[in-house]
Amino acid sequence: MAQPAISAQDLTYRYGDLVAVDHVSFDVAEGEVLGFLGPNGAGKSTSVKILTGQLRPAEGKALLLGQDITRRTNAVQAHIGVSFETTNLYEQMTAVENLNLFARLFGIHDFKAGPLLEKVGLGGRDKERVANYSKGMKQRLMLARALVNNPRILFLDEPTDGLDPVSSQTVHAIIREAADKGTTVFLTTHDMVEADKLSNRVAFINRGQIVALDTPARLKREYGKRAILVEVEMADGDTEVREITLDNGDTPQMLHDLFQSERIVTVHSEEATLEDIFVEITGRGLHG
Amino acid sequence: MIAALVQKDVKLFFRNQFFALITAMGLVFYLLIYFLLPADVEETLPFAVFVEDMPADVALAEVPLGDGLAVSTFDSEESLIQALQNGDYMAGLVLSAETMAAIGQGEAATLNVYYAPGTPSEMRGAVDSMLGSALNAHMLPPDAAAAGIDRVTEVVGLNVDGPLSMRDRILPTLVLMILAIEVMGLATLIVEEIEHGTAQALLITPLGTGQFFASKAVMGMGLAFVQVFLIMLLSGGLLVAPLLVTLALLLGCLLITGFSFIIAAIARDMMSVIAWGMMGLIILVLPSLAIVFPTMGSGWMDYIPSHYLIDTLHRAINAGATLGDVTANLLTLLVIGAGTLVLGSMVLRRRFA
Repeated sequence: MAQPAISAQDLTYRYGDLVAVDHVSFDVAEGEVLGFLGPNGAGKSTSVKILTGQLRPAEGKALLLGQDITRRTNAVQAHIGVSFETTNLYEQMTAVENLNLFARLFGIHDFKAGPLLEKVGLGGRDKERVANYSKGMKQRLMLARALVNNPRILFLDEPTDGLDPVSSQTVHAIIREAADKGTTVFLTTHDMVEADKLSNRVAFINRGQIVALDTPARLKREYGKRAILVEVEMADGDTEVREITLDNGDTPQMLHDLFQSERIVTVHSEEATLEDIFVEITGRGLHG
Repeated sequence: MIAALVQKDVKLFFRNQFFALITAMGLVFYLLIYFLLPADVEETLPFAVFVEDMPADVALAEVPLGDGLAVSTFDSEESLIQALQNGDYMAGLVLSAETMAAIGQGEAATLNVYYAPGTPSEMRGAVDSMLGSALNAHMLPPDAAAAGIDRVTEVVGLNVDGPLSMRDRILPTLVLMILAIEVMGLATLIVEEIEHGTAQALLITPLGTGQFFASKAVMGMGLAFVQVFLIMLLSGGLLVAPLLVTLALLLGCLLITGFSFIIAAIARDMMSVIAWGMMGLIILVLPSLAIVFPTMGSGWMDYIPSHYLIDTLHRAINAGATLGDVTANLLTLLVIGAGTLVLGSMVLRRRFA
């Protein structure tokens, strides 16, 4: 089996008496997008800080690209990109100046900011001071900064939080493109739709522990209800919703009869959302 | 309504732990400074006297040298000069047996009068006149004509040629003010990097914390040095002793960079940097008072690290001191500066951790 890009092994971190990350273990393969989901205070940010070398775990270790991040921090950091949840750009500098600075820190001498800024949709305003940018533009510039060193692992913390749909689409496209090129993406988000759409697998973290880790499809199958809801129009013009269970032997016949005899308005699967699954597993919401 | 708003503001002000602390500390600190400064008005001039072969039956305390002189006697001319150099006395008189005999016979005599560094010329003139009159009055028989007394005055310690103008006196203070302002500038820069999260972004690259600190140290020292160097260059101070002044300025920049790190480690935002910085500025500037206003100096000011910078610059540009004269100052400044920088880096590293 190929070496995982990220391997968290029994990671534990405490803030005083509070165990923020409690013996967390998981692997992320090269080129995989892992959605890391959990409510505020669940331990997401602390986990990311450990994985990116900002915090030293109390127990356990994190291997990135086969190297211990605690021991080989700078060597590993040369191959990762991080986009933070809160904007932390040099606002009195231009986008180009921001990117050039980080390129120099990564030791990239022939860096050209233009193509990267074009990619994130900031091509026309690259000479403007970042202080004049909208939140969406700053968020996209943060993403561009995270890509400066062409990272092998990309950590994205709420990359589309508060963005308009167009900006979100741009960010999603960039994440997908990076993953297609083999970049491992560690995506921390509250947005279940985003996680569902972009992630190969999702991990649910609650009170510092991983409570579920699988592909969105398998989680939905495991925790969702195998049924479809059919909305039919009655003779008096009212509508009625009928549930048809999928695993019965006569399901095909039932559906056939329904479509023959009734006027169908809508058909929906009763697939669980990731948020439903999280609530079912943890007993609490993702926004709590 | 206004009362309600005032009440609210007072409540909010003291709920902000930083402002509550800085207010309380400020009160204590400024009161401490106030009470440390001399409370007594010096109505008498501390005056040192050495009389060569003083007759056993003459008690010097009986010699009415003049109202306002607090006379102390010394065993030798050397110990008198040393006391003046230490700043214990403002003026001193050496009376040789020959001089005393000449005055006693109403003949012309020469007085050796020494002054501590920084004694204003007006004060020197007044003391000279007073000494001449007092000695004539005491040693000559009644109704005798006054002896002609020539005075040879010498300022011990600093070899200042003539009185110093205010601009020459204040130049080291200006340098110190610039450096103290730079303390706040650099500390603000670091605090903003922390508060805005840009430091976090930088430290997630291969850049290490040590390199981050080093860059700030270079930046702080560089910026401060360029400013004070220009001031010294344009004022002409640098031309007097280029190497010595440059060395002193560099060490001064080292010191203030350390202070900046310490302030950056404890301050939360720009306002708190200014609050802490002002406290530091007042302390750092205190030793310069002794140069601008010579009679205002106090011995304890020598324990303030900036004293070694101020004193070195003053000696170098106003008294033609050589490297040998100020080696002790420079070494002390180097040790304190390096120590402050190491301490600053340690406390700042704790904040980053």
